[in-house]
Amino acid sequence: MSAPLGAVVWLLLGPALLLAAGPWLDGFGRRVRARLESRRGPPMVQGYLDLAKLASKEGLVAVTNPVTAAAPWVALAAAVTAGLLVPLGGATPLGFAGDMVVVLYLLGLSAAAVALGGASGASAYGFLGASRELLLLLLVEPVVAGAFLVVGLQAGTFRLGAMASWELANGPTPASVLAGVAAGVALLAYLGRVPFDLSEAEQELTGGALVEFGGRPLALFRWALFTRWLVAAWVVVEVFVPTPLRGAAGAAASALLVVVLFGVLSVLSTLIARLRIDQARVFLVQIGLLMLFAFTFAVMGA
Amino acid sequence: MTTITTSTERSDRVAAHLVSALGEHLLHLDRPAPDRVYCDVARDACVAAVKALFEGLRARYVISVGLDRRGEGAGFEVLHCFAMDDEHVRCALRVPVSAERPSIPSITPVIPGASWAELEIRDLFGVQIEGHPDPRRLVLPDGFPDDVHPLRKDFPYNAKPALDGPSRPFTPAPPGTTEMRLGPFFPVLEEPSQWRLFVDGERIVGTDYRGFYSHRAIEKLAETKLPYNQVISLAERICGICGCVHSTAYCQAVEEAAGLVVPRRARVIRSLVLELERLQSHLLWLGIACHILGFDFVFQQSWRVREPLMNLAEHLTGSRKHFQVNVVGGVTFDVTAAGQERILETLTGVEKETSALVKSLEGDQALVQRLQHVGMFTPEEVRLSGAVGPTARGSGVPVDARRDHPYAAYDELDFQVVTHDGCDNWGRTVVRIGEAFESAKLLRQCVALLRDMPEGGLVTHVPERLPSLREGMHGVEAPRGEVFHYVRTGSGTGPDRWRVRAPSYQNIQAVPTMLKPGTTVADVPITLGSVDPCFSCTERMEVLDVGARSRRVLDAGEIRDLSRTGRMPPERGTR
Repeated sequence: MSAPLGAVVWLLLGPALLLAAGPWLDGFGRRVRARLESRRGPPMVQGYLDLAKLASKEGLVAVTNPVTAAAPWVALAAAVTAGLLVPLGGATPLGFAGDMVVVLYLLGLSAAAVALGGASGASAYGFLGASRELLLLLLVEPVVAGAFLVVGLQAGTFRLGAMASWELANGPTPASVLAGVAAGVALLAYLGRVPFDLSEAEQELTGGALVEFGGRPLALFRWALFTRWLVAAWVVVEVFVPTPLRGAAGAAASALLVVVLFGVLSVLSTLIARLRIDQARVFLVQIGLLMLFAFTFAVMGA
Repeated sequence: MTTITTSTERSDRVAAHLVSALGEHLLHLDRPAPDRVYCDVARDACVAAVKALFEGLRARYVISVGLDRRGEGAGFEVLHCFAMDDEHVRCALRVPVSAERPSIPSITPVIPGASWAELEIRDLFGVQIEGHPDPRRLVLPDGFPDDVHPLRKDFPYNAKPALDGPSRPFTPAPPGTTEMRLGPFFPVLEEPSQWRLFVDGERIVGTDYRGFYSHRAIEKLAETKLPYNQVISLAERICGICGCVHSTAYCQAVEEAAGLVVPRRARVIRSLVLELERLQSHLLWLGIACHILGFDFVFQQSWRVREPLMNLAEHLTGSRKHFQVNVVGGVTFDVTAAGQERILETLTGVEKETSALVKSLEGDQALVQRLQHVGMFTPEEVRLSGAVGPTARGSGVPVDARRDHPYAAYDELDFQVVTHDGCDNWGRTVVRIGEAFESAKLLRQCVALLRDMPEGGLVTHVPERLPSLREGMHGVEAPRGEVFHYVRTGSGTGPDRWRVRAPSYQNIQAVPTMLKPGTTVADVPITLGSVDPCFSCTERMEVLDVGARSRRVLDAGEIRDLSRTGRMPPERGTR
């Protein structure tokens, strides 16, 4: 398949694939958690069922302003667009120089849209949830970005496809292993899962940033969240644990790794109590220090 | 083991102390039962007398009770109830109040924990409280007229005054703060109550509480309509999770007033059921507390571990909750050899699983960090607020009605009063976990006692008519702290006055004290939860088909099948 044709196909197929796969992760994560809790758990398709139920409800909003209306769409569109740039089975149909930076920005934008939506309402819970979301984003973004930067520095490129090929060719280096661990641990916070679900924290903020949303807007936010989980886990897998397989086999292998990574994260998420914002800050700063070590190694060329 | 003699030696000593401490304020001293002292003091001397008791003799404040004695040719009356835990004596200061212009001086400036009790007397009896620091209405709903007082004897129990009276004003938020409302309905407040938090960013600056949204007026109902033994069903339903403590405390208060002696086997059975209740309640609390912290793993596991206890309760009493074990003068059923066997069997499993769960919690740094140094509550604050139970014992205050004022069979049982010096949410957690294991020990001792005594003899002879206008005050150590019931017998077949004080009545008043400066919004739900405010659980489902006029009750297995398959399970014939 020629490159432009591949790009067109991916442009058409990619969004559908990303949107279709995200909710499955939710069902999977809930099943993992249920098993740890000695429960049977919901069916694997629960993520889809929830979205369908929410979408069928009336989308009542307390305030109507352009930000509130646009935020769910921005969150979803940013997450999907980021997903289109991630390598799949060794191919990067839409890749370009520096696409790593764009992916990180888009994922950040998707999270920031949730905070914006929360802050645009009139609820104290929404405000507090939004402020926590932004604070957490400020803390976790440098860690994740730094980890990618480490591989980028070593590979001499910020193009995701090229970074993955370099990692594959030059094997795991001390720097990339450290950076990979830092990124993996930070993912829990990046994905807003317990113990870092501070911006929603049902028992403290009754849903926090999302408290004012219901029906279709809420479904969009949830869908954006699922997509963000998928894309973030996917890009970490592609860059830090690339598979030598190509084509469909490569895509399948990566998908398996994403499921494994997400499963591990779900286990951690089940077994840790929610942190307070100051405790989350201390934890993320420590992970940041780990990342700085990786950075030093990378600069030294190790 | 606590050995309490039935001699009046201790109450003699307390009486002597009171005579010297109260001096000329003391008008009359009455000791109707061993370990009970009632002192009459003049209205104007009541604050001085309270000071002498609370500050001089270090008595623990329990509750204040209002009475309407106008029908007997007297006026109103206020009883300030105290407990001298070291001496195992309960005492009350009796303050007469004029019927024409009823008012008494406030004792809240001396004992902050008396605030609600005084306001309740003001709302329900119309006795004005002079000098109360926050005289807003407490119990009466918005719109209820200011000059109608439901607990007065001339107010019919079913009267419905027009709701055109005043509403309760809210405290305005201090300048520069945002107001966050927890409640009246909030995910972790299972009962309707409202906490308005004044926050600066994430930090709490102040709070304003409003409760009593679903006041059920059960005291009025008991005082007007119900005979003694029917009040028990009502008492049992005060709480959905520890109802037995209320029916026990009520029965004991009536028994004390009527001078009834409960047979030994019945007393052992009361202790047994109460400890079973405590064990399941503490496991339930552990789950809820962890759920508040987003730690649903423990929530699910601890409720799974608890389930065999609920099945055991159903096996022993016929009901998972609301055991209906008590009757004035004894208990309604025996715990037979088969039941004793089942208790021991269940305990083995529950203890093993609880140990495993607790072990994993103690090593959990994330959890410990969330709980330690949060919700600080000093021993002096415990005293001032009258807090009881794990809320007090988590601050190293070893108050426990089972040891201090033994009832049921606790004088024959050997147990530890678990305390912790943490004074924080972690301390209260450790205390409850420790108590769960103590309860298991106590259950085994109760079974051993039952085995060694002949079956039968569960109720003492109760006369047709109980002596009238006699008083009893009794406490039971509930899972959440001491439950206190005051009963004054009536001239008919039911009580003239029945005052219930649940432990949460004092403990919730103490929560604002625990929200020290620097507390964040994230700490509020768990600090509230750390006093274990209670809620009612309905785990059975009844299906009513209005069209077909049919009714069907699903059991646990059928509900499980229904939730798993999404289809109504087929009927298994009549059972």
